Amino acid sequence: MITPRKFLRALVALSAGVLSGFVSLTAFAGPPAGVLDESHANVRAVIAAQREVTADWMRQSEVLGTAVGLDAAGNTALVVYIDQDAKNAGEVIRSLPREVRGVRVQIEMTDKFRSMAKPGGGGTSHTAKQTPPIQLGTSGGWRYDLANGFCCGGTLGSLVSIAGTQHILSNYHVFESDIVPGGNSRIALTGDPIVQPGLIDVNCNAANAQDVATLVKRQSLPASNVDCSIGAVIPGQVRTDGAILEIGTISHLTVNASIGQAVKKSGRTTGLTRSSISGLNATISVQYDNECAGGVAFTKTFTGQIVVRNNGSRFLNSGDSGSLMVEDVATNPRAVGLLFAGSSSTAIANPINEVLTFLGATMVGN
Amino acid sequence: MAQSPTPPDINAVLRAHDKELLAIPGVVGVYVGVLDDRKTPCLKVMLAQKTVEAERAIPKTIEGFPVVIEVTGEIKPLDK
Repeated sequence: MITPRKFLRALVALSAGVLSGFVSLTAFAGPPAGVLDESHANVRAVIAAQREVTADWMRQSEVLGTAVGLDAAGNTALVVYIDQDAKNAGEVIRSLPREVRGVRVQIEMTDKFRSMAKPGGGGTSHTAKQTPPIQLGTSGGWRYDLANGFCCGGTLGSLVSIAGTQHILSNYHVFESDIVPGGNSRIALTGDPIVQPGLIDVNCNAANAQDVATLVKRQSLPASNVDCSIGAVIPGQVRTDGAILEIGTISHLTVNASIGQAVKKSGRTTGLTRSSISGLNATISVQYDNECAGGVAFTKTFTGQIVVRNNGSRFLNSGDSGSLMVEDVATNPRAVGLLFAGSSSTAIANPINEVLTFLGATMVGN
Repeated sequence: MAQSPTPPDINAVLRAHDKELLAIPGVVGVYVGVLDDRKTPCLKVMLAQKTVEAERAIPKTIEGFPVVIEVTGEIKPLDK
C-alpha cells in the first residue's frame, strides 16, 4: 500500500562491475579526518590497490565488483562484493588476501547487481501508463481501490478468452476483494473500471490512469480453490494478441507444473523474473482483507498449490499479484500458474488449469 | 506367496495429514517437495516462524516419507 499524502520511493542502485567505484561519505565516526573524496590520501591509496587487483579478482564470477569504502572500524578499505548466492563464495572469500599494499580488504556479501527499470529510461517499465493498446504484465487494478488512507493495486497479468470475448486475468484480491462499504463506502461491482496503471503508481489518483477493462465479478473466494478475477477488455485498450511485457506472446496451451521446472513471470513490481518450482500439491493457509487497508475478511486454505522459490522476494513481491507464471522458454511459453501469494522465501501459484476451468476460459496465445 | 506392498502415494499421504499439520500453531502450509539431493520425495512443512513447540509437534516422518521443516514466514496475498 502507498500513502497518498507522501509518495516516497527509495531506490538503491549499484551498477555492476564497478572498476573504480567510490562511496561518498558525509558522516562517519573515527579516522580518517577530512572529507573522503578522491583527493584524500587514504582514498587514493585504496584506489591504487583497487586498480591493481580488481580485473584479476573479477575473473572469478563470485566477485561482483569492488569499491572504496570503510571497514567496521571506520578506516578506508577496499570493499569486495561477493555473490551471496554463489556456491563457492566461502572458498573465494578465503582465497582473498586480508590486505593489499597495506589497504584492508573488506568483504561484503550481496545479491547480484541488476539494473532497476525506471519509466522513460532504459529498461522496460512495468508501472508506467502505456499508450493503448496495452501489453500485460503491467501495474493495474480496480479503479476505486482507495480506502482508509491507502490505495492498493497489483498486476494485469495476462489475457484470456471466455466465449469469444477477451478478458484481463488477475487475482480476486486485486480486482474484487473490497466486499465491505467500510472506509470508502463502496464494494467492487461488475462494470467497475479496471485501470492501468493501478492507483499505487499514479499517486492514488485515478484521473492519472486509464480505463482498460470492466470488472466481471466471479467471487472465486472464499468458496473456490482459486484466487482469480477478470475484466472484460474495453475495445482498443488491450493488445488482442495478449502480449506480455518482456515475455511477448505466449502459447494458448498450458502445461502442468513439475518439481525443478524453470519458470518466469512478468509483473508490476519485480518485472521479468525467473525461478524454479520447488513443490507441488501444497495445502496453504492465506489471510485476506475485506478492503484496501481494511480488516480481516477470511482465512482461506487452498489445496493442490504450486510452490516456487522466492529468495529475498526476488521472484515475486508485493504488487506482483496477478502475474501469470509461464515455463521459461523463449518462444510461445505455456502457462503454468497464476501467482497470488507468498513470503520473502516462497511464492504460491494456482495451477492454471484450475483457474481456466473455474472461469470457462482459454489463454489467448499462439 | 506374499507380494511386496505398493509404496504409498505421497500426494495421498499429504492429503490425509494436511489438516492435522495445519492445526499445529505456526504451520502455514505443507507441500510435496524433494530433499536436498533434488530427487527424494519428502513432505515440507512451512512455518511462519521457528518455534520449539512447532518443531516438537511436527513428526520426522509420515508413512515412511521424510518430513522437512521450512521457515517461510506468513504466506500473504501479494497486492500492494
